[in-house]
Amino acid sequence: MRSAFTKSHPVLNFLFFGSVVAFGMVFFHPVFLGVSFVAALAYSVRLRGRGTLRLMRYLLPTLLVVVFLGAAFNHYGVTTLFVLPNGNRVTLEAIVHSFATGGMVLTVFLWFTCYDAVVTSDKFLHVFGRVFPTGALLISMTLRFIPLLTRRMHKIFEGQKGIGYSGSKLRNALHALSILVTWSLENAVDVSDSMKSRGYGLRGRTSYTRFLWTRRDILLCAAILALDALTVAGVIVGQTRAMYNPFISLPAITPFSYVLYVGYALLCFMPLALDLTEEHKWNRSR
Amino acid sequence: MQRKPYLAAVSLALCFAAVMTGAFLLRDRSYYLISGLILLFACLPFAALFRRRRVKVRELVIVSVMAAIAVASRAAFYMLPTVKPLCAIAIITGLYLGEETGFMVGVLSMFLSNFLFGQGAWTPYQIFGMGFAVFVADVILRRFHLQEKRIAVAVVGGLCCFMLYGICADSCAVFAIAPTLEWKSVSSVLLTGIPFNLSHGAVTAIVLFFLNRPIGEKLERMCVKYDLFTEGEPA
Amino acid sequence: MEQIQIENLHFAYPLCADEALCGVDLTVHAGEYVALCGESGCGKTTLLRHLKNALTPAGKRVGTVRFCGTPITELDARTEAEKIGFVQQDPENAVVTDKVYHELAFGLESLGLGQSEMRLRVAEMASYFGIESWFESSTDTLSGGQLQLLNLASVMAMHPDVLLLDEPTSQLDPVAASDFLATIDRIHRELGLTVILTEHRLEDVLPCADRVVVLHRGRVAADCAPREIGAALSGELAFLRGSMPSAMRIYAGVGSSLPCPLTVCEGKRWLSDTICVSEPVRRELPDDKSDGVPAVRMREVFFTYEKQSPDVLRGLTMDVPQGKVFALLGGNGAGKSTALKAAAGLLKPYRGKVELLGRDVKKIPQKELYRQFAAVLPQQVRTLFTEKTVRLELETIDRDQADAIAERLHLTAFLDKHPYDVSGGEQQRVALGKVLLTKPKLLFLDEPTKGMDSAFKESFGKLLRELCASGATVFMVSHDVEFCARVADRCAMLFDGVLAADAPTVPFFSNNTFYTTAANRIARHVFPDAITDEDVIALCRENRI
Repeated sequence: MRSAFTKSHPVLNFLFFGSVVAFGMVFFHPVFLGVSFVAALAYSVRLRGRGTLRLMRYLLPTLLVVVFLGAAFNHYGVTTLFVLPNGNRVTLEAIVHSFATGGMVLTVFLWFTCYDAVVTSDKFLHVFGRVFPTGALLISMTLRFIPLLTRRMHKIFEGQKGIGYSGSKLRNALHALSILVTWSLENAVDVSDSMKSRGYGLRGRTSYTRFLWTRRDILLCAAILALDALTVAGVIVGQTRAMYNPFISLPAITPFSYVLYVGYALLCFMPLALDLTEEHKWNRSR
Repeated sequence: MQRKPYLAAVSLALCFAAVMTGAFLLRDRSYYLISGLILLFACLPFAALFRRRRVKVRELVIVSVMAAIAVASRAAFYMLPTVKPLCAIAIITGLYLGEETGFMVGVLSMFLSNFLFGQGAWTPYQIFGMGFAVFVADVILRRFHLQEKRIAVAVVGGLCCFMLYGICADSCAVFAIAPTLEWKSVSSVLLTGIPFNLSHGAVTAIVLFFLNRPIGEKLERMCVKYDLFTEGEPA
Repeated sequence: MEQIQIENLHFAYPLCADEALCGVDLTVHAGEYVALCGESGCGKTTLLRHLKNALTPAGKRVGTVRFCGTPITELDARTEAEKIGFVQQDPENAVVTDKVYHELAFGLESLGLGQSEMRLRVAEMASYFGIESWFESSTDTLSGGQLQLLNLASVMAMHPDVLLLDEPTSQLDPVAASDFLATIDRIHRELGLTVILTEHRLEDVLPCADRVVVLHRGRVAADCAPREIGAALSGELAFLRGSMPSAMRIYAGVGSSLPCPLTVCEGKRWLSDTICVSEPVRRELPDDKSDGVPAVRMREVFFTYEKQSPDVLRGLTMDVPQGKVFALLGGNGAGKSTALKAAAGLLKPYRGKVELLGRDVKKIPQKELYRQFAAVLPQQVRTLFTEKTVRLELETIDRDQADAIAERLHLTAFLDKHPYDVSGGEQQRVALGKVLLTKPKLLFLDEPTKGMDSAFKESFGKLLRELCASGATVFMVSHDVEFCARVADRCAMLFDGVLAADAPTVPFFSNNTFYTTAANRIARHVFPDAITDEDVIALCRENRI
């Protein structure tokens, strides 16, 4: 699938996910929650298709359980809907509050599914490598070793079986793990020789990257920062506050509120919009 | 890489400060945001270590290999899917190569394990929890020279894994699910995590019991053969 | 210009009484291609590592090594990293990062080059070595040949003046090995690089090399052009014969005043000039009727690793006769190893029947199957090592027989060493010892000669023959055509999941045109049934001009 956002510069990806996840974690206001949830769901479905829908089959019931538990155990609020047999009240406020909590968790969860799909290991390492080059190298090396050692593990199982080693499942696994440690530690010397012979340890190490900045990336980064600033302004004037205890109270809606809503929507839907525009252009160009 | 526990201690202190700020100052439920900060602080020892002095290439490779083994060990127990020996391997590494190394292996392997099996808001909590549990277990065991007492290692390691890692990892669920930060709702969430954490702790203890010496001997052999993780400055 | 000058170099490993190098003198000029050869343990790897300071082993050292006039110990680390490239044996350990492009740039990052310079060099390397199509892949998805090529490209990106290669093809299959050596030859010809290479498979190296340096017990035993080695092979360099190309071995065995041939093509021409036969000489073949129950009987075996992926074995039907050495040959990915594992009961086919000595393998209990019945020597023998010393390795299997087997496999000298502290060939022997201690009636060997030197290959072949003589059956899977021709009683070729050919060894090879031994290719126009060097030599002697 053509995904313009996925192919953008990693810094742009990080900036975006940093923004939406941070906002997603603190906003309880229904409008902000709703916008972010719809955007996250839509983008996740676009990126992962059936995967996300299958995931929702598990997540939505979980959300309902959270709401149910919240409503059953919390008895604050002024609007009593009904009274449970044990004398506890079930209130509208508690239900709405639980809904908001669950929705927030779900939204952040969905944003992370998008993050997983967009930010691949090389993108992560590009950004991380700017700050901690050695740490990034360590991660890259470990990412190389994990599949290699996993394969070795299976070879060890086979090798041991072929000369008649057999014990309980636990014993077999521990035995194999111990062999793997010896094998891999001894190989570590060859690995470090290979690094040394290619000059690892010289002063002034740089880091190679495949990612280049384009004008569009820079513009989009600026746009995200501007929208972030707008939203933070909204936070400062109290437009994003929401109270559910003891009664539901939302800030008064002013013209600025609409500006904020639109701004936040632009932010959240940005990758999806980018993808769709590019796909449209591409289809037309054929 | 060894004998500089203050770095990890600073990192741990900062993480706690972040958690506390979240819990008490930002009372309108921004606990979630704190996750990001924790991740940042957990990285601190990494950054500082590698900036401060040159780690020997072989030490770097060994850290990477041990972390990879910790993650790949899942494959060893593919027939016993509940067994995840990651924590045990990080603790063993720390016992013989220093608690800071153990901390790094714990953090690195937990991070990559999340990287491969899906990340979420829980990632920072798990990373921090793992580093914390491994570090504390190693400090206790090394302080009292119990590295070679397999029962002590199994008990301390298992307990640290159960208590420290369990609580840290579950606090993510606490912040997410518990409607209010009141003792009743917090404890109910934590209680539901106990069976899982108990089994994780028990597995860690079992793996430590059986593998502490076999793996330890191999790590010691490497250190002696190639003069690694010693106190002197590298050549 | 003298680029590398070694003067009277002595070296001894710590705690080792004998010197690994005793008084080596060697001069290498810029742009030379030097093949460094000798038996295992002759000091060739040690010598090669002395040419790169970062990799020089610890120990007692006397004498000097100069690089462009400067003693190598005084060379600054940056120049050394840049100008002296080193490619090591096992590419699995040489590749350190998770992405191909990152690996290519690894050395450039160390040198601290700028982004645009790195981009250019990476682009150059990727196109020169044909890496473009897998440039973005994870290194985990590459084959052994690709990994070694990547390793080479990553070293070449640093623009070295000298390229050192330590047995770079020992872990590769023959096709990948030839490709790799062809690439080295191309680098040498097109870029004029100095190449110093150690190798025990010299077939593809000698025709390209300018010079051969032979090390023997830490001393330079010969230093001459490849062709001149041929004449000395029947004399003072006889120990080297095993690792030389077939053409040279036949030449040395027959003896001739003509110049020594290096390749199959030259060998063929030389043979025509040396012998005189009017028509091809055929030979009476011994009857190969085996009776009784086959040791392994496979009937229409189907196997696949994953439900969705194509079948690896597609109805394989095969009989392995009892008391024989049976070799299964085939290219990469033909399913040889899979066939072996299915036969040994390590993999369960989803259809078809496997019988070992007349018993259905599915019905033999695990414990019985791999105790005194069948045993498998895996490709990676390190998967078998669990203990702290070689002695313990053997004793965990059978305490009483351990000494006897150690004696038989010449392991006594290093019984108290850690299994990882002994050389590759020795590890192979230890593993074999472990496997033999289970007293198998059926021995399964997966690629047993990988990384073995010719001397040990010979004694290993003898050992297999002895085992068969004592009634055991050997089933091996191999790429090594020469070894199979020498040792096996019967060979089969697997292709596309089924057998393409199955015959006693001599007719098997004499019927093939490409997939046969070098000796057979040299002599097939006159001696179609001669498949080993010894056969050809014997026939040549009979039919000399």
